[in-house]
Amino acid sequence: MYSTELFKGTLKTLVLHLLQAEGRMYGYQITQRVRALTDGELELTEGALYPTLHKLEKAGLIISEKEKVGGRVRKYYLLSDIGTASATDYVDEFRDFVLTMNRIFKLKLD
Amino acid sequence: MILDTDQTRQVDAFLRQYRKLKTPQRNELLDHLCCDIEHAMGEGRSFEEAFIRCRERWNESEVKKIHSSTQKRFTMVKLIGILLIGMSTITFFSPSIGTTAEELPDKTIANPVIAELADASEPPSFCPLTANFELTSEYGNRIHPISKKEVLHRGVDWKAPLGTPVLASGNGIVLEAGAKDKYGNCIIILHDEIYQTLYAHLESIDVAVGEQIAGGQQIGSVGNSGLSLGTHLHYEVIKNGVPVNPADYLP
Repeated sequence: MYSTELFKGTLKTLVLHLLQAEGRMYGYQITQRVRALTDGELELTEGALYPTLHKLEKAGLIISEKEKVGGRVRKYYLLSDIGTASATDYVDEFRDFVLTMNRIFKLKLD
Repeated sequence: MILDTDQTRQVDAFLRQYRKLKTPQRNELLDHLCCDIEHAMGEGRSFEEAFIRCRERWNESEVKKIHSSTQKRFTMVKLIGILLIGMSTITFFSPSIGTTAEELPDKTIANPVIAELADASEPPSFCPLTANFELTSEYGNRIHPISKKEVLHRGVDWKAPLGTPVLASGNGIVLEAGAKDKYGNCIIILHDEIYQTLYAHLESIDVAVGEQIAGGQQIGSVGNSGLSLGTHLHYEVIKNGVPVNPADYLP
């Protein structure tokens, strides 16, 4: 597990990127997808994920659709038009950030 | 594999004990927990096992984090409102009374907050039996009538005839209803995130898990099921997971 400090700043970018790559996703699916992509190294908790989703929705970057599944309702999230336009910016910014940081840390990335 | 209506209702009942969760958030979390349970069932666990595991994993702080993201703003608005009322009281009093008046608004600020907190967790306060029946065993340490060992009696016992109606002591939702080891036929009602009440040794159970219950509503009848030596009602008030003296919550 990584410290929440490290993780926090990248949450929005991570969610936007996943939605851009996969289209429509619901909360549990996102946590499972992150687990699979990182071979279980990254555990996205509900307490971190849902507030991020709700913030992004409020900001208009993502929108939601509801669908009935058995006896319950599932909430799917997808990028809005603004979200689609800015997802790439977020990822680019993150990339620049990592590269800049690496000028200091000089990590061997392979 | 998708949980059936009854199983979904049990998960929903579990989430309902966190009263601060608003309906849309609760519905979203309901789907999340159901998915988690279905995932575990896909690995070969039974629903009961998967549900227990899910409840253990699901600690309260997680829920608080989710709820605080949308609730903080609301609380802030309320606080500002209270402060404004307090400040208007200052301007009202200060010209005539001067320095002592500044202590007054402090109280006007504190009181609404306290009143609000008290409102948020109204403890169950009805008597679960209509008539005055003989109280045969009080809450506290006692020699157990069957095991003869001194143990804490977690509730109170009333001797009452078979079939006497048992009433819910407050509004809530049924968390458990069914046979429960020594308790026999037993109902547990969730009132809020603090209080639960338990009714044991029942003859009949009239409610189902997940059902909404109003205080005073009949939920079952007095019996002699489980580890019991005569028809009686065993009643517990559970505060934050710990049984407390029900006498403090009876009219």
